[in-house]
Amino acid sequence: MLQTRTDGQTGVSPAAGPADADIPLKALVESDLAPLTARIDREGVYPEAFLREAGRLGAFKRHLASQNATASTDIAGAIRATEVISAECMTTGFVAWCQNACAWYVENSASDVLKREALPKLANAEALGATALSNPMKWFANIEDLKLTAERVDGGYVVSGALPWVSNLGQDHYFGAIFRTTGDNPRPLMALINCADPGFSLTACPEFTALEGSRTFGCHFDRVFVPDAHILADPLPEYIRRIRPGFVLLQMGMGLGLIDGCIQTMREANETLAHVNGYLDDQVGELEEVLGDARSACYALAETPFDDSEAFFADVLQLRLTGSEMSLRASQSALLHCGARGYKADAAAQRKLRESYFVAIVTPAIKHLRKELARIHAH
Amino acid sequence: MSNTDDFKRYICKVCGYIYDEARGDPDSGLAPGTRFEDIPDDWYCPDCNVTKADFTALEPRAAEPDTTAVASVWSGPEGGNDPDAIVIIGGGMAGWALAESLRERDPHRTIRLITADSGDYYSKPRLSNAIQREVAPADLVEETGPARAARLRIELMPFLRVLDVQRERKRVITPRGGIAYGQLVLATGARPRQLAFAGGAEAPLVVNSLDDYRRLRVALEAGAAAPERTRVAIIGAGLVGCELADDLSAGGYPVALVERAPGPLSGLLPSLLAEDLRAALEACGVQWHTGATVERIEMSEQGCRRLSLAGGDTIEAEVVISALGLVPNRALAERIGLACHQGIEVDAFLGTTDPAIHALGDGCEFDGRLRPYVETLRGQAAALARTLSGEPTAYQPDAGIVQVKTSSLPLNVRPPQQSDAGAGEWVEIVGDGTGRHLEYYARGRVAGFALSGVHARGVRELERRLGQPASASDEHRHRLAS
Repeated sequence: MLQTRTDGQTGVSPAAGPADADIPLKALVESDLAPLTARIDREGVYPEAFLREAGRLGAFKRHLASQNATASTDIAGAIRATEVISAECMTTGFVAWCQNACAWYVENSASDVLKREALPKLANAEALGATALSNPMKWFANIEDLKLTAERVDGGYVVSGALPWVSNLGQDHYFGAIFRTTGDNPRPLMALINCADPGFSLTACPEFTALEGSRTFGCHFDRVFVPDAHILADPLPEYIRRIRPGFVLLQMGMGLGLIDGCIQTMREANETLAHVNGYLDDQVGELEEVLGDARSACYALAETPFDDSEAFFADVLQLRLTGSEMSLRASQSALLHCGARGYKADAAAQRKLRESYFVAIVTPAIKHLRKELARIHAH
Repeated sequence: MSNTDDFKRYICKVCGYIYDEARGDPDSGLAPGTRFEDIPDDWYCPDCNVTKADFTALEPRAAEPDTTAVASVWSGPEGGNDPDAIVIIGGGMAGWALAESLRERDPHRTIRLITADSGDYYSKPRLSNAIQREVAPADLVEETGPARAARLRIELMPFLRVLDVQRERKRVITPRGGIAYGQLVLATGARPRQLAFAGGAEAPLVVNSLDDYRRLRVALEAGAAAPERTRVAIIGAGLVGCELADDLSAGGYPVALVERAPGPLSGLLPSLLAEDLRAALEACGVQWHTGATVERIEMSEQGCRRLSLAGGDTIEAEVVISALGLVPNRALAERIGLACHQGIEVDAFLGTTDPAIHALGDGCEFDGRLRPYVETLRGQAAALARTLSGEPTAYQPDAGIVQVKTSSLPLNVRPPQQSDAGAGEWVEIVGDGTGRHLEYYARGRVAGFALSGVHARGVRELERRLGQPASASDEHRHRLAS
């Protein structure tokens, strides 16, 4: 009747490495990222220099067994790095996740060419990468149709269509895309695209309420040629089952980091306002406990990223949902703790409030997660 | 502007922007009232820059029926923070029996029950005799989880798996967050032993939970063929294998039963009764393959599976069931450092090696033995409820009577305990067309019995005689080789 997740599964990575692995990254966040946070949020400054430097420190290859020194799939380590970044600036935490996800696709793909040519650069942030899987994720959940189609041509496919907004893009950035082939044997395929590919173009997006520095663009495919060597997976379903727990778990770095940042903001507010903040619903101690529990759950799930059972993926989705709900709760509490000072246009608390809503709506959004969990739990 | 009532709306297939003819798009120079067909081709979606070719007439999507308002019965860990709570992990018969006994003894204690499934209550033994009575899976549910939780005033946390337990913080870690406990009870049960067979066919079905039973019914009804045309192969003639064979053959399904031992229920039944059971099932049409093991299972055409046995025989079947016994779920207990052997080791009070954690049911090992029986879990639940309500009560093991619910030959067996096995002998008291009544005598006392047919009803009388001197007249009865 009751199964525990660990039944019959072997771990592939330590639940948590030594905390001092994060010290150089923390120092870099403080010196190079913190001074830019407000401008990233409000003016759309893209933290490119920080990303490149964090990549050199190894922040984006902890989950890439083929690229890191320990040859381990340390998902928990990659999540912790994203937490450290997101606690300061979640726009940057989000693009860090994009980077991690893009490399994750290649790491788990069947393309030796991409593993040789693109993966080492993505792992060090010498090349930057994105994930255009929002639409396919919703397609898998029966929420919307696939927006890209492809025709078979000699040596590859020609892809057409448009995706509304994809983040962490630029002149020569990579991203993973899923399209549906037409003609004989129609099926979904996934490929790595480069923004410099002929026929591909980026267009500006409307202004969003936060995360303006995430380089988010509309993507237009006008007969973009994708060579066979750039196909990440065919057939797709087995590959998706392999990458999806890691894909969603890596997102947890955003929510966990954001909550951590909110607690820090609350603590700072309490230096002068503790005598009145005690009347608020959520206190520092309670949120610390919630964060500790969510981290424990997250790192426990991160031990078996290649468990492709539906029961395990349901746990991952449930944790992701919990992360969203807790993020909303923590950011509201942070703003209430700060009062009017947190409502200033350059205050961290109101920025974190807006960032927390991103955690809740970025694919998979709260409603998407609840729909999927209801499907899995229905008989 | 023409008739204002028939303005239409068009949606961008890429980003979801809605062009409403009534409103137009004044920022791009389209006055309110501009018809979609009058929009120039060089107009772009204001949100994502695609052209009007990517727009389609808006047809409001109907909301899907709410078939599954299940996911958030328990909402978040806010309520999970009573440090004195008794938290039960596992919503099978053992977990529910404990929750019920606890509530009877203590009307106020916070009780939480975490279960990976819906928490719906059903009797597990009924799973192996529901086919012939054509009981639908939903009808096996005696009470839904939420209804039972409300009646017992406990908090049910359904569809939730436990990832870890932090013993120092006394918190259960789940994907929904942490849950504080004062006392934790592991009622994590056992799962069917699964062997990996060569040959490439999907794994055989098992029957250990209501969800398993649902899958079995789906498989049996897959071809929409009459039962006579849906052949079932069962691997393992233990308790569940024999009961299923009996149930399925009574339901009209042709059954083949494969068993490695020379006969059914080996190790439990004296050979005379094993032969009777074999004959009774055979009379119902069960095809026996004893002393046989399955080497490969392959798919052949039309959804048929072909089982190859060591020795060269083959069996064809539409449905394959594995019934190879149970393995206690001890992964969580092992992960958190509790002593485990075959199952989670418990002491006389069902305590584990952590004083704040107890265990009961199919997952625990009491006195060096697994006892995956309903009578055991009921006795354990009663004792543990007393202990957890402040009245330390040792669990007194029951007599260990095994009921075999094969309707073609009902059996009640109390095998001799390990210390007596081999020290005595089986004696036949009655053996005729109505069934048999065998007793096991060791050191001059009744140390076991085996009853079949109408004699199976005498089980309570025999239970009372356990440990009593074997009567003198019994000495003259027919002695049997065990």
